Amino acid sequence: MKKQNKKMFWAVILIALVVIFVVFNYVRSEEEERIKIGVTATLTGFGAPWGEDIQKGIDLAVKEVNDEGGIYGKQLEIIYEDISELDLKMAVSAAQKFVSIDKVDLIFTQWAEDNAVVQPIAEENNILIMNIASGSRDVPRGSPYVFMIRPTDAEVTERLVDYIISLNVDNPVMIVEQTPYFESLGALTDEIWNQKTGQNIRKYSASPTERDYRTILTKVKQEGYDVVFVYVLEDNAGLVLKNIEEFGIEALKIGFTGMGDPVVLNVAKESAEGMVYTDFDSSEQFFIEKFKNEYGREPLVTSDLAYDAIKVLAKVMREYGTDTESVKKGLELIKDFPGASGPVTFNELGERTGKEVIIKVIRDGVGVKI
Amino acid sequence: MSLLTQLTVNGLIAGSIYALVASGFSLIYGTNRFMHFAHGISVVIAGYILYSLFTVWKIPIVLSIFITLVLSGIFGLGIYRLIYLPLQNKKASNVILLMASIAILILFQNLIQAFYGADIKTIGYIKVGKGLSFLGAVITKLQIAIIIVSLLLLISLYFFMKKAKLGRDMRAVSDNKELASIVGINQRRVSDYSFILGSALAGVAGVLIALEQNLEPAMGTTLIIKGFTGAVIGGISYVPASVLGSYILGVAENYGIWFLPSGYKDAIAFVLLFIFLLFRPSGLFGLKRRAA
Amino acid sequence: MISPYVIHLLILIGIYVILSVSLNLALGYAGLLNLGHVALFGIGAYTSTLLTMNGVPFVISFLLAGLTASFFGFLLILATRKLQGDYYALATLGFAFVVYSLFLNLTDLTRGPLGIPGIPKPNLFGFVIGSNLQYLLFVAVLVLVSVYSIRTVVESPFGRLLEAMRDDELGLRVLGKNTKMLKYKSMMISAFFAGISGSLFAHYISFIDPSTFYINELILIITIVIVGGIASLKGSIVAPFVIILIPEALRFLSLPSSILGPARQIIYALVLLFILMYKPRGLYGKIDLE
Repeated sequence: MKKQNKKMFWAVILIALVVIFVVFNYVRSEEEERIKIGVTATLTGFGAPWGEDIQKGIDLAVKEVNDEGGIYGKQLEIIYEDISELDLKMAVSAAQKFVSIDKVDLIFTQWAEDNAVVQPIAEENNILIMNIASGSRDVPRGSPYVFMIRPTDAEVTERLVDYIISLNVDNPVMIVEQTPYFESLGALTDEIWNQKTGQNIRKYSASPTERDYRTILTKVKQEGYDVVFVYVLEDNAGLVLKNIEEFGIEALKIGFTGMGDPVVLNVAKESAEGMVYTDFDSSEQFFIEKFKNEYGREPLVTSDLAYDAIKVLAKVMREYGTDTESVKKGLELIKDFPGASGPVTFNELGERTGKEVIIKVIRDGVGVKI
Repeated sequence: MSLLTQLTVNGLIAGSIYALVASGFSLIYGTNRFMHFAHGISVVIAGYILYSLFTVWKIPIVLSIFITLVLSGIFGLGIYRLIYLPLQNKKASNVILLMASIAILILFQNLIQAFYGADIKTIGYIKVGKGLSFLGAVITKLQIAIIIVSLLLLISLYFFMKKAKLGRDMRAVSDNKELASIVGINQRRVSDYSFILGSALAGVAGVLIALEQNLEPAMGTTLIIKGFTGAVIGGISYVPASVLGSYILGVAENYGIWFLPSGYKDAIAFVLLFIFLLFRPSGLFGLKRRAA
Repeated sequence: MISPYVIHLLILIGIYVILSVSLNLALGYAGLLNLGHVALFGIGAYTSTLLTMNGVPFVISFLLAGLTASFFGFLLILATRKLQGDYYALATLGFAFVVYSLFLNLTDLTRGPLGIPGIPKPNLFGFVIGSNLQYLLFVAVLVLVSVYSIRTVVESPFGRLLEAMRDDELGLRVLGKNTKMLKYKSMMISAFFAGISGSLFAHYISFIDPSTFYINELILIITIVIVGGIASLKGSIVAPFVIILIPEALRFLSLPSSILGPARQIIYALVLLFILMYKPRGLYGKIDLE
């Protein structure tokens, strides 16, 4: 008897789950009065700070757009899906849900990896993708369905390398985190450096969960250095800089975009002095103020991009229409849209252009343009 | 800079943290005979509690640290009483306890993130600057403190387990559970204290990490893997052994990436773990015993 | 028509059924507490991927994925043959970590952290499995084959011996049975199916990287087996449905976006704890593993 009861219990649970599915399937497809955007982002795990900032940037923009009356009277609705630690099967599940259950009008992807698995599904269903945070060359160019709002790494890195070479320093070294984004960036930087100088950059790999860089730096100190590229996620980059300072390594410290964020500076403090990094003619002040007012802290490097993605789309949809073809046309025609991340324009490959790359250096704890 | 000294110093710093984590884990394993993987989150919670007390509410640092350690111990006890003990009373197997432990780790990691936010937190107490030179190696004051505090604590723990009644009771239960209860040792009480003490040790690790590095909700997983590896290398059910094992791990990792590409650092830990389990599962210093 | 989303979920569930049934063979029936199963899954995935992307026909890559995983299963038993219980489990866990490190660091072979994108859909003697529905049918066939094979093993005299070994290895040895051979054979069969499920996974998701076969995946796999119940094929089949569908059901729960991610994980962990505390034998479990 007892065993039967238990079986019943579980059968009920399973049936309940199935019912939830079916019900929501119906409920969802009746809400046509909204414009829906599906977003895949790393909302938990190690990427959480950046996923969270993208979510906050988007929410801020959506509130503004909806307060203005939405788009043709329709409210914007965002559906977030977590892809914790870049779990690609979660990304695929999210994309499938977006296209068949939520029936979204657009999809945002965060990095090159989720984009890679989401793209085929989006294309099959004639849905556009706006990639938010990856300037990586691993996001395919020229696909009519993909737009990237972050300026490409290639452009940024070239500027950076040119600047360093102009300083006549040699013996470059890079500390690269073993994650797709930094491996890619490191390889790109090395290629560009090689093109221009015929030499390669000595690479030291670090695990993404590493927090103690002392022995890597011991090696660096022993093997010689003049320039140290710190290609480590911002959460640990501050620790790298700190360790560099402790060791008295007098090198030109190079960072990438995002290294000027409080995340890094709060940990690194004085050790960040003199660090050179790339930035864009950055987050317009208006956005930083808005973000601070809403959330009580300063934004990280990707939230302005996320905010702009929404704002640009809202403008395009209002002017040209909300279906895929119209949005595509509109995005191609957008020129110098005044975004939180600077003027937004897309080129024929769907890449973001026109955002001026600037080189900054940390002086007295603040990033100053060179 | 004397290379050997530097690498050894680096190893000792890392080893100290691992040892603090491993000792608590080992204490709990020895007394209770199951793997408390959620131990990693005890470290993280301690760090965040310190953050709330000191950085947010501006309570003086020494008092903050004291309160943090007390709360850490209570946290560990809470997990034991609320989750593990009921499961054990239902005769749950070790595998179930292990799974429950992992679920607890996930639960609290996300609670911390939901409560504190995902952004990186810093304690902001220590100044950043050039390290001191000590016997040819570079080391900062805080790092010296880490090594000294860990060594002192662990030596005290050793004497506690050797001389104090509670400590001896814990060892008795660890060696032979049935005999210990026959002799009249209160198992429940010993288990309670193993969690309190073990988690307080994790709390010390959390405080030191918070001061030396930074705080992130997801940092518990790597810590427990490393601590656990150190414990296995030394001898998982014997606290002083797991401490030594942790120092050996710290040193081995840092010496190792001198010769190997630095990306292999974690690989070194894993390979050591695997090799030890194959050839000397009771660890370098553990007592030879058939596993449960 | 069935929603593509549902088809997608069924494909994933199918892959995990094969994976969990294979693990249950080793864990539940043979008593080999193999925490390294995820590494075998990954080895299958990488093998199949690297071979097909270098021109080897899918059918061969697929089978080689299983065989390579099987070979590593053999190596694993070879290395751990003297270990018991907890220590054995830990050694297999160490194995999983070592394999992960290899995926991560042998960059010339695996592209390391960058992973391998663009994995092609299976090409069976000229017929390309283009749509998800076709893939689902393909997976379904393989699920049937796998479950049937493993069930045959489990219900055979060989299977009885395995269970006897699980319950009392020493006793079995005293009776003159070669427990070593039993371990090797059961592990190699288990690993073979883990390997082919890895291949199915890789060719479906089309992108694999080292982190795909690390802790999170390991936890997922073991959860499936625990929830399903040890030594129960029925449990291994039902459990993937439950474990994969619960997080999916959570997607439909409206939560404020700022805590969406962590909130779902919290609910998932609580559900897991609930199942563990009130149903420690899982849905259909027959025994408790000591």
